[in-house]
Amino acid sequence: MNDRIQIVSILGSLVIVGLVIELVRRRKLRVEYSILWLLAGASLVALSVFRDALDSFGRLLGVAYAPAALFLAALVFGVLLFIHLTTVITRLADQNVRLAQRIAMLELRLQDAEQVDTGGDERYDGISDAP
Amino acid sequence: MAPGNETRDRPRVLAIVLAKNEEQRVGEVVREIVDASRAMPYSIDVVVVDDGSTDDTARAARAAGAKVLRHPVNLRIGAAEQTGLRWALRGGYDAAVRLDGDGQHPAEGMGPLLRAVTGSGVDMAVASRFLIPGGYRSTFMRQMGIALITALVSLVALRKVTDPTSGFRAFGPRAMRLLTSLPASDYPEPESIIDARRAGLVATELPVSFRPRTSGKSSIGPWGAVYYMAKITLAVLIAGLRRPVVV
Repeated sequence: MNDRIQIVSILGSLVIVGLVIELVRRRKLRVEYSILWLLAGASLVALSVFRDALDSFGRLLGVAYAPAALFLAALVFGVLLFIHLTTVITRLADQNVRLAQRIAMLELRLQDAEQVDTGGDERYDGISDAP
Repeated sequence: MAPGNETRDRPRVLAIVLAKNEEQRVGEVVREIVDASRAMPYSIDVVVVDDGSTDDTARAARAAGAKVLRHPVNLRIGAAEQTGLRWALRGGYDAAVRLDGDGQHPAEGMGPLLRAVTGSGVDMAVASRFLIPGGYRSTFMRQMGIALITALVSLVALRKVTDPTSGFRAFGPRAMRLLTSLPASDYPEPESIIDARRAGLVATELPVSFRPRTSGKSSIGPWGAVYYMAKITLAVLIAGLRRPVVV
């Protein structure tokens, strides 16, 4: 590996780390979700700086072609991340249901209360979505 | 509002009607429940859960005398059932009974279901089409699907179940608490039988014949059927692996 590719790798990795930090700074990414990406970015920086680390890592896994070990690690990371994200979506979906159920019940209670107040408004049709 | 002496000691029951885009039928369903309830020893209120209808379902239901819980978006049937049960718990009802808004579930069927969950130690009573000879007719594929699910649920529940996909069912307080303490499930019927059984609740089936769907289509299309079968199978198998919930 020559110096040029090492410089490109280091810069590329730093850009990823910087992008993640910038997204957190602009509140486009929550700190808790940035941790995984920062760890991944830091690993890339480390692999770029310490050239021999990748070869050692490959030998550790018994992989003859060291870059293949990198692909494997990236793939495993990606899969775990997607599983994690689907658990996040599941939680969001469950919370969404709870919120909508709560809205439905509050709307009916509100309607009942308003009917008691006004002596009944037949035309009341819930909180309209129309502008 | 003040109930007479006669109604005071009657069990208070909430009839939960699930409806999405049923403006043509929901009013008749509500009126049928109100009519049928006059001959029953219960004080029955009707609430329609409008699961994100784009038509005048809510208005039609209200015009027929029901209260309406409107989901602001479509949350699907499991969440709709759960919304009704939450309303029942909140209102301190002694029991709840669920009927579908398309009129498939005859209101007279509420009688035996409610008798089971009020006072005889049953937590959930399911109306079974298959305990009545010729009680249900449908397409071959649909019958096959139901037969498969029935076998699976019976296997996991370790007891004979005849109609696990039936949505016509009554719930006692323990069943209401159980089903509102879990996240709402899509197509909840077979899964909730397992959940109830594992939580130590008593579930039973009673013979009730359903009416054929007069109009409208099943909510499940051909691709939906594949998904439905896969989802139910997985949900029932995994429900059998879960730690029982205590209610």
